[in-house]
This record gives sequence, structure tokens and C-alpha cells, in this order.
Amino acid sequence: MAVQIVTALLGSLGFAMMFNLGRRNVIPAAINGMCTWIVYILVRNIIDDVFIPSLAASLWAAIYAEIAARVMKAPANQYLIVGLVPLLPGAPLYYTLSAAFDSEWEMAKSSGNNTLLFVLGIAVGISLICGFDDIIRKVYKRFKEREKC
Amino acid sequence: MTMADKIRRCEQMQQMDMPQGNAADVRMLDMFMDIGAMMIRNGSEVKRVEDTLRRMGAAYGAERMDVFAITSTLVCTMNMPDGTVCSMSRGTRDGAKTDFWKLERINALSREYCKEPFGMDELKSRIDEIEQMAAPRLTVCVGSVLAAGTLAVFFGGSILDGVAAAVFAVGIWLLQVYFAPICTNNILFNFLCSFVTGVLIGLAGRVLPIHEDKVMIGDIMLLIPGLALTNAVKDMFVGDTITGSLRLVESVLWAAGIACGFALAVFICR
Repeated sequence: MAVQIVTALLGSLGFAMMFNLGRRNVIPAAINGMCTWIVYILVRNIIDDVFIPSLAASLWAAIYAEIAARVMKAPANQYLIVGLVPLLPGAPLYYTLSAAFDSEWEMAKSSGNNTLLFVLGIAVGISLICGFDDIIRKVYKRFKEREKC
Repeated sequence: MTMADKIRRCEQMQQMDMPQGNAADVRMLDMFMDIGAMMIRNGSEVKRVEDTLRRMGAAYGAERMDVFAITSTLVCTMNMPDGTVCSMSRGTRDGAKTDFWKLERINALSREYCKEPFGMDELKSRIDEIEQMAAPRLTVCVGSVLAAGTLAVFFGGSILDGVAAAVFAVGIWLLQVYFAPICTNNILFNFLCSFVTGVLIGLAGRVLPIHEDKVMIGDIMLLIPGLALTNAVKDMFVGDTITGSLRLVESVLWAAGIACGFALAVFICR
């Protein structure tokens, strides 16, 4: 498990370099990748499923990204995309197709299911934070305006 | 100014052989389009592009900015207070690699401009400066190697698998640098790229004691469209359904191309 956490950090770091993040953003983004995976493992220990842990992890990644964006005054997207790297279903995608080529349909079905659940978890997590972020921002704005009056 | 006034004004303009606002506005809009196109190419959400252009337009003095952006096109109409209207559209599709540093610089530039608009020439020179700044190739290469190598281990490979994945990541990087500009069809490129890499890994697997599946997974991660997927979800959720669906379909096809390429390679190498 420690190996996975370290490799999640380094893998995210690699992606941060691939997308050419600014020098000061590389480290926060890579740390987001590591924390996302830690959240995934923690939740997975409690609920043995694919969807819920990946949802929790992507929620975390999105919250972290928004906070990092506010602190660093930079677009949030970069932290989010690098942070989600460990959740990308590379392995399930591969096993789905390789099982399908071997006509092992049961295996293909379960891997395909996993791939979709990972993607769904990521999608729902991002959307939730995206929506709430908007609401919070507007409420905050209104609150400030009222204070001025 | 009422609509009738605007039409009259427009007719006057046509008589003056100047249907498209004055030259300064057109030039300014052209620069805004540069900014918008650069943002889309470098991995920004569409909402953000529209927002940025609207704000910059307002800072320049436009009465209203109507921006429409999807992944391949950017259309913008600038309504000036004197009734002139300029409109421009721009294709934004070319095989540029995502570069978040550029995006951040553009973002900073637009913020600065909105706070205190500066002259046209200065804006032009600063846009050019950002545009020309290419990502250092070495960093991208090292990043690919690091990502593929560690992610192969991440998905349960041994150290040797990681090293092998790192070596093949250099191959993917070379393909991305030298072959991608020739092969502009993204799905085909991903298919060919994964197929070639898969065959090479399969051949290597006959000689070396590596787990081929783990090595391939490490290299798949480099090609998987995580960015397109993330942006698709975000775009769709904030109401840019067209862009979101475009990107979603694109990323699904893209993933299918990758999966088929690797699976076919496995099939052949057995």
C-alpha cells in the first residue's frame, strides 16, 4: 500500500510535468494525486466497492483543487486533472478489452463495469463540487454585499 | 440606441465601405480571439473562455460581448457603444499539446488587462510572447517516463515492469512529438500509437521476464484522455452541453482506440 501511495505521488508528478504546469504548481498538484489515492484506500477499507471510493476520492480531488486555486491564484483545472490521475481506469480498461479478445465475457463484463464505475465516480464527484462551488461563491458574494449596506 | 438607429448606422457604414466596425476594434477582437483560441487549445473549460472574453471585452469598452465557443470553433461578436458591431470566428483545432503554464499566463494576462487595460501593441506583444513559449520538450519527456514507470508499479507491477514501461514511454513521447503532427486524426493516432507500443512490449515480453499487462497499463495511462473527460464533465454540468457531449464522445472514442490498439497487439503477439 505504501508503494501505491508513493507511486501515485510520482505518477501525478509525471503528469504534472507532461502538462507543463508552472514550476510553483507542480508540487501542490502532485500532492493532490497522492491524497486522492489515500482517500480512495481509506474509503475502500470501509466500503468494499468501486463507485463510492472513487466518488469520495474525486470529491476530495475537486475540493483540494478549488482550495489550491484560491491559495495559489491559478486556474483550478490543473490541480484537478493531475489529482485525478490515480483514479483513471487504465487497468480496468486494459483488462476489459484483453478479456473480450479472449472471449472471456464474464471477465470482460466485470472489468468493463469497473471502468464505467470509476468514470462515473469521477464524473459525479467533479459535478457535485462544481455545482456547490458556484453556490458558495454566490452566497459569499451576496453576504459581502449585505455587509457593505 | 434603438434597433432602427443601429440599422441606419449600419447602412451608413456600408456606404463608407466599412461594414465591420473600425479598424482598431477589429484588431482588438482579433487579439481576443487569439486569447480564446489559445485557452481552448491548452485545456481550459469553455465557460472560462467565454467568461474571460466577456470581461476583457467589457474592459476594452464594448457594450456587449456575445461569445460562443465549442471545442473546434470560437465565435465572438463585439457590440461597441457607438453602434458598430464586429464579429469574428476562429477554428481552434490543431494538434497542440495541453500546456497549463500557458493557460496560467493567459489567465494572469487577462486579469491584469481587466484591472487596467493597456495599449493594443503591448497586449499584442504579450500574447505573442505567451504563444511562442513552447513547453520544454525534455520536461514533457521526463514527465512521461516518470508517469508511465511509476504507474506501472502502481497497478501492481514489479520494479522491472516499471523500468520497461518507462523505456516504452520514451517511444510514445517520440511518436507524440514526431508522428502526431503528421497524423492529425486523434483516434487513429491513439490506435496506431498503442498498437505499435503494444507490439513492442509484446516482443520485449518474450525476451525479458516482465509482466506485459502491467507494462502496457503503465503506458496506457499516458494516452488515456483524462483531461478531455474531466473537461467534458465540467462543461456539461455548467450548461455547455454541446461542448460537453462533443468532448465526452471524443474521449470515449479515443479510449476505445487505445484499448483496441493494445488488445490487438496482445492478440498478435501471442
